[in-house]
Amino acid sequence: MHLRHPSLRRLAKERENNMSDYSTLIIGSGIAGMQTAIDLGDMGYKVLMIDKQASIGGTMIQLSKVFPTLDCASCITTPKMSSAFHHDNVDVKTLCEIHDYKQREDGRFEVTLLQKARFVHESMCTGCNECAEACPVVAVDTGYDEGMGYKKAIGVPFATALPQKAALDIDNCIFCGKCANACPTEAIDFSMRDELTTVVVDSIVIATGFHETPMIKEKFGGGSIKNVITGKQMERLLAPTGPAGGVFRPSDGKIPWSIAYVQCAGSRDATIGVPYCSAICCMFAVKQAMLLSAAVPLADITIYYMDMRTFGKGHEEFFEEARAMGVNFVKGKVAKIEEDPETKDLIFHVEQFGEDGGLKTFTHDLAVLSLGVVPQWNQEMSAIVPVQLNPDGFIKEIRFATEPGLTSIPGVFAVGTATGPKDIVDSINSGSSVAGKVAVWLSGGLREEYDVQYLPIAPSVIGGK
Amino acid sequence: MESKTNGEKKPRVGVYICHCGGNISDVVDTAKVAEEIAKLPEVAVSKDFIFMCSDPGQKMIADDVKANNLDHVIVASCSPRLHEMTFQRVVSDAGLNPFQYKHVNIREQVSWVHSHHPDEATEKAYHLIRGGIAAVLKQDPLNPIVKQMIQKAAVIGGGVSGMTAALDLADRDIPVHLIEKAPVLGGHLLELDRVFPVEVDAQEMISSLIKKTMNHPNIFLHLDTEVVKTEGSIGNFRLVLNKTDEKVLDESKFAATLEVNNEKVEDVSELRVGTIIMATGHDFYEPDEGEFGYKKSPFVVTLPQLILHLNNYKGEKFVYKGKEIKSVAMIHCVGSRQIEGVHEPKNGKLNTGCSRVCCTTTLQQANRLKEMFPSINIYDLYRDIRTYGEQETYYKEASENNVIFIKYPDDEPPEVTANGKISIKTKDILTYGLDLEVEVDMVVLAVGIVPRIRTSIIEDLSLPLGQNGFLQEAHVKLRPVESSSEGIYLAGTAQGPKNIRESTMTASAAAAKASSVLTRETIELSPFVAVVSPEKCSGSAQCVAECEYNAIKIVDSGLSGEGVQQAVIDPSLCTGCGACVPACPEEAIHVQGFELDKIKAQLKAMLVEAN
Amino acid sequence: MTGCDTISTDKDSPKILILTTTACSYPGVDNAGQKHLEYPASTYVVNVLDPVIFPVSFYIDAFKMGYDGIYIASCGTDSPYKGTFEKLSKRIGDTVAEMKKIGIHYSRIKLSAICTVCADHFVHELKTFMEEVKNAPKTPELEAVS
Repeated sequence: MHLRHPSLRRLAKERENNMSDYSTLIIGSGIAGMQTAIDLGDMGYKVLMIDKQASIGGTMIQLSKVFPTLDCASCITTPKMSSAFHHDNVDVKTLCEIHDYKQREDGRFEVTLLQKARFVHESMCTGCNECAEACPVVAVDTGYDEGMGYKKAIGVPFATALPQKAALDIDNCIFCGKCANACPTEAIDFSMRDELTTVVVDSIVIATGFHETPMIKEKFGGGSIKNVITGKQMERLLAPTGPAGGVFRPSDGKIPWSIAYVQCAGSRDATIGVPYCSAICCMFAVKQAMLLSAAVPLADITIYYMDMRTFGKGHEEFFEEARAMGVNFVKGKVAKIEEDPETKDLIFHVEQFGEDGGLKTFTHDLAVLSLGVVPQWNQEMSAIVPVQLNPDGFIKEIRFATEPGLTSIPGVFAVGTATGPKDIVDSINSGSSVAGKVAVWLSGGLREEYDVQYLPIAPSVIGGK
Repeated sequence: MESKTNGEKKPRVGVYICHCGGNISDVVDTAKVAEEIAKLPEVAVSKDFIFMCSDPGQKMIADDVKANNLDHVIVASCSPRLHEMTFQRVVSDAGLNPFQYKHVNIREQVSWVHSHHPDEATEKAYHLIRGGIAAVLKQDPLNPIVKQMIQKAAVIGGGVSGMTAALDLADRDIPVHLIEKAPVLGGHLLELDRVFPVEVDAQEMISSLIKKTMNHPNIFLHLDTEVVKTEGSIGNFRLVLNKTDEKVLDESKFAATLEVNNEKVEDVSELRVGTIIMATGHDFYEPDEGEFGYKKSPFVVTLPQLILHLNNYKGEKFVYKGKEIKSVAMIHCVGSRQIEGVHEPKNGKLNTGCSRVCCTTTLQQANRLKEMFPSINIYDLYRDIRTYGEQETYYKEASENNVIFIKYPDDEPPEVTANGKISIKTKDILTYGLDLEVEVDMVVLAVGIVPRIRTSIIEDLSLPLGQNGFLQEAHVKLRPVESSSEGIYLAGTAQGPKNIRESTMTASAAAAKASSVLTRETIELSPFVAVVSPEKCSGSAQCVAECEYNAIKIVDSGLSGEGVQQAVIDPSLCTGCGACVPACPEEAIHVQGFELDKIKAQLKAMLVEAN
Repeated sequence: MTGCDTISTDKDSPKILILTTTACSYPGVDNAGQKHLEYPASTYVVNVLDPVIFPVSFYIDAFKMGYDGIYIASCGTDSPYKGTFEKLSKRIGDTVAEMKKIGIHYSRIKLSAICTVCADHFVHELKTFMEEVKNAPKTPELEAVS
């Protein structure tokens, strides 16, 4: 909904002497960050959203389909990306990170941003991707395709990327110059350098999301067994935009006829520093199992689990549906996965519970580890913006139950998985709720919670155009 | 330049055919299509270009509109879902109405699906563009419908979600009417103990929330009040209120929170507001008599009953109804995750969903019992322990507290026999299916969360309910706190089971959504709505029954003379579905943007062969 | 290129009007394109919010204009609009009755439900439908629509 804002426009006029560049800086452009940006923009606040990647969209744009509706993830994400990116009140910077931060006495923040060189002038690039055609480099795509596919050293990051602009990957570039010759608009510029810029903002929202727990568990091969992949890698294989147009196993490219999921492979384990439950793995495993029964109809799919945590609205019914479809749910603990050196098949040692339980071995073609959710925000970033963290590494919320999203610094908020594991719906709700809290803060509220004196900064409200 | 002063001026259409960098032009002969289209008399400009969406492409259109006096524009390129808005903006900036633009999809629906048949694809592109031209020429300019906004909100329900939503709105200077059926604010939180997972005292938390709510100058309280009638639509809802004399609470228990400041309580019978937030909450599942021994023995209690009992409990030993309780069995999933053929339906329905909060609450109470009475024995009979996220610590703590966990099969719930002694028979998956029998002094049933649907608003505004009877959101992911009726937002457990953190989160989200319309003096609604032509309407009222959204009313109309009955459609209730259109015997209704004569013109033009 | 011989491309390929919906089948038909599936080119998509908007006469007029078959890709029971699918089903029933009166074979119209990612299902159904239309008894000369 793009609406004009008579009342806020008037407000903006009254505050022409405003000293901030933006009401809010949003760090991260995944689904939670985008939702916060859209809602604040709709309320008439001017927002800057930055992302360290070359496109906005975060984790969600990488996914195949989403539970429990099985809508394709890109069908849900692209409209959000589009409304955030094209919003009159939202500015977007990609390949951009926070570099330095200072809170002024009046409560405003001065944030220095590091704009990484794109080596392509955004204003000139038409997104035709001729550069990628011309580029002779073929490198493993460890970003969007999670190491399951290949990419060129230059090109539009992926089909639905926003901005639809090429970016050059300096680490893989061999400086042959073929892309520059192929570019119809001469947009490629090898002389571009990283730049620092400073913005003054009234508030900050951290929306840096999560990554999967690293594959460090020795009993599952510690990342060294080829046919043991991560949940996100399977997402890429299943996605319509995926690298191979189908599901294969990495060792030999064959179709896997027997696929096993190991639940809690990187959560609920204090020894790896992840004592909490990651809240999303049960549902994504069930979802992937359902998608696999369509993609590889004859495959046997087994999910080894301890507690099936399908707790959201409609999730239990989704789990029952998977059971009815013949997905094999085995209550048991996977003690070890071994690789058959000849066939590269996987030998599972399992303590199985239930009536026919006991210590058992099973053979599977491909294993998917349901790894956990760990925050992307880290100590290094906390050294820049000094928000307090919980012992588990997520950003601490000072009013966890009553006013989620408030961090230890007045005026700094956090959304989505930056504060703890969440599924997409909860991340979107968190984004909207924090947008509301930011608006309250900008209107002079929440001072009591923080026991701070400085007054509401005249918000840099700019309604419509 | 030809004269534009004559009454029937000749249309001047600009047609632009995009190569999409080869995505289209490798299959469709775009140059040839442009050449053929240029021959049509109504076409003033016909061009093909590598990327119409690029800045040079957009500029080309804007320049042509001005230089060539174009009155309609067609771009044939990718799906309208990608760039229809882009080009609508371009023509709008160039001075045309956005609906004088028509997008033709020749990528997803031509070049990509007929890639091995370039000739047919080229021909099809031509036909689709001709259809587009015919359609756009029949399209009247459309503008968003502007409606005045009553910049006030109503929040239904004074529990934690309702208060949070009300406070967020009030803090943004929006007047809020908070309507609560009970004589006190607080809802279920009044009955709770500690709020997980940060162990805030629930009573303290609720007192501070109530205090803030009562003292806020922008919040108007209506306690002991229910909404008996609702009408209207976004921007202008009318609520009729009625006093209830519901004394649902035992006041003595909540003395501390009952400091109702009567001066703050509004006494009116009617309200007008711009938006409504539904924070109507939930009920706990009430087990049937005999279900797990409930009501067969006084020592079979529900989890909320246990919490209430423990809240003010003092004493070394755990005594309940005169008996010392040394062992407790807690049974999960009572009234949740029900399976057909295993569980008894209630009112003809099973509650198939997971109630989300009971696992954590059960373990929290198990730990509390262990803390208060260290020698107590606790058996926890569960299907799956769902202490998701940070709540996992409760599970860990319970294990460390030596709570004995027994996992019973989904399709074989434990059998509770309660005649004098209470004994439980169950199968345990953790011990490879062993049949167990335990005797306990008390059974606690972890009852689920069921919808509380007792407000007339749902029926009056036909708000949709989901599978398990909770209010249904407009879209699970895109619009999780909005109802499909514009202007109605959902907060807390009215939409589905949630813990307190999740409830306040959705409440704040609902308030944020509501505030983005409430801060406006006017709102703009989609122009794709049904419209009645008064010169044709005879007031037959056939359309009224077809409309599922109560958007059509028959009123006295002065338009066609004295006392004539005619249909009028409220555009803010109309969804544009078109169900009313074929019902009208006079063909007096059309949906703007989807006029039947326009679609027929398009159909006809698509079949015309090129010369 | 080979491997696409099954796609009918001849001039006699029946002309099919495909009615889609904004919420479900239009994205679904797009999805077939995104997956680069193939179907015959004599297919013409017209999109509406919900096909419930069309009266019986609209379908008859479309046949009179020269469309050989009409494929209605609705949202089915997933329709975002209340009660429209039931009404639409009944409408198509009425249309078939009307078609019978003037000699248009019932196999020339098909009501289906296509979701946003139902690409394969859509292409399969469309091809089957086109075969049926091809084999359907010929329609007598109909008076033209003004």
